[in-house]
Amino acid sequence: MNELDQKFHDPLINVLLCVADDKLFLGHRNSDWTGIAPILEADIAFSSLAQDDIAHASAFYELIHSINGQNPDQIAFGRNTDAYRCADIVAQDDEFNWANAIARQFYCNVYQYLWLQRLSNATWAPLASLANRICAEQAIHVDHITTWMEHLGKGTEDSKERLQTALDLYAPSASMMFEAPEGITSLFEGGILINEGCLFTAWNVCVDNILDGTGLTIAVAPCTGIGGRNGKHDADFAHALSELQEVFSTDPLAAW
Amino acid sequence: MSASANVEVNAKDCAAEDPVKLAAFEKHIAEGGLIEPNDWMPQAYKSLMLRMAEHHANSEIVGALPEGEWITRAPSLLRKLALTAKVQDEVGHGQMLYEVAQDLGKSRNAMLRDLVTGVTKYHNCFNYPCPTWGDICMIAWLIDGAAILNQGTLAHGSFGPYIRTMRRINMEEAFHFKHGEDMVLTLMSGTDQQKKMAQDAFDRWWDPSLAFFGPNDRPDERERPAMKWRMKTATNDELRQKFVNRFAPAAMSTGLVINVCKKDAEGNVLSATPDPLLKLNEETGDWDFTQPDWDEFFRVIRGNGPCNKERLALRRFSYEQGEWVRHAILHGATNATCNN
Repeated sequence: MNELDQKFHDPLINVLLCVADDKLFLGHRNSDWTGIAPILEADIAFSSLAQDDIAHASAFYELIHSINGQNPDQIAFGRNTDAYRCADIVAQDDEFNWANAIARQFYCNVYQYLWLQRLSNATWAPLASLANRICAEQAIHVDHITTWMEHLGKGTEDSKERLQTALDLYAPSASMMFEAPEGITSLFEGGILINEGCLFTAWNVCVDNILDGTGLTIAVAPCTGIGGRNGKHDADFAHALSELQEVFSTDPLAAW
Repeated sequence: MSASANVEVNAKDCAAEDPVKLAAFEKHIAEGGLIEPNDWMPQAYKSLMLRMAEHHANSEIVGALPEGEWITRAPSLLRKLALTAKVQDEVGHGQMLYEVAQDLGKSRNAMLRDLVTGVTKYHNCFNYPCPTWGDICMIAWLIDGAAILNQGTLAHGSFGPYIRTMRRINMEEAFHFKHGEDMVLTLMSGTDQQKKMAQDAFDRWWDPSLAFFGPNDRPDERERPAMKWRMKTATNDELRQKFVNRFAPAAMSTGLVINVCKKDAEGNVLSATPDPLLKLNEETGDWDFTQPDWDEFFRVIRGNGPCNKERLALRRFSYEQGEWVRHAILHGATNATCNN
């Protein structure tokens, strides 16, 4: 199905913004490591992942553009804080602590992989096609972060402790990745997206499998309350957004 | 971006070397031959080549810092992606050049430690500030443009691993230059505010770009080891003139004005007046220009520039913050292959 009924435009744009904004801000945070990561090879790899994420975000903003005609840069850079739909974990300040960056990446990469897999079954063909294409790259992100979980979890006592601390630190914000975007029920009921059961449960199975044997544990509670998916953001996100918009906002209509 | 050939070198006395081997070595180089890591070479050549590759590698990874700080502020999706990729390239160049230097007998970890403790140096041009997005545009255009000119000649050097690395790096630098040119043209085709941003940044970067090639030539430049042994194939002044011939008309065609600027200790421009010497010399075919402020150049190279401490501190922070990660990788139970 290539045509999309008008009544699905707003809820679908909302869901697409969740994916795109997650990707943009995770890429934004990770790109900040370019040039200062702990090992040159890790620096280069992490930067490639950040570039993937920013490019994936860009592709999703293009998809939104195909629905509502808005300029992708204006969507990415030009909204007020409460119009962004990312879960705040993607924009958490890692304070240039590699354990924090790896923990954030782990939580998000597995979530994004599973969600993109489901989106690749969407009945709206442009979304299914894009999600399917990105899923292949997302699998590489999961492989990469799995290796880091093993290296640091089974590395030294110190590395294990640091990573465990970071995993615990981000556990509350990880649960908010599963906050339902407004209107998603209508997309399930309308047959645009396929409801394949509880994503949180599937994610828990997947992260447990990856952590098996590493000695690392996670305890992420089910999502409660209102957060980024519905426009309520924390101070870290506000800071990341202000940095993202710093140059753009000096003249939002100019070409850069 | 970066450059290495400006490392000030002095050959050690070659008197202790086997004269027959030394003569064969010099003949091989004079005939255009390449030196490989396992070939015989005078100790002075090995030391100079190590310093050159190490300095170049250091410059690549320190050079990543000023631009890296602007990745999160890049003003469009395309610019954000391109800048991230460019800075990543610089890190990759550093990684390749440290490999070249390692072949000459110094471990990467020792080189990184010497960099952050101030034992070794990096290129002087990274000690200047980048207060606006315009500076990022000018670095990619002018400094990468200067690096292409310099490294184009270094790719005809005598040490095999280094020149092969130069050739790979130069292909990527060409993309960086195009990226810079596109950003400068975009600003100069934009609003008055954007044009002013570009001119202000150009005023900050023109002098460091001229000084990029190093101090003026000595009278015996071609007899000195770096050129005699074909580590360098062009002098600093020759490269500087080529740069001005290429960039002065290009800058003016975009509407930029080439100024002589007075700056304060933080690198802020206090006054800017059009270069009174700038003109195409009909006799030589070269562009005449005012030399950069060499007093400032030597002040910055001695460690008293606007950003020397800041750049080194960030590099040191990165090195120290990453120590536990490297330790886990090298000494952990997973026995990873990553070697730093």
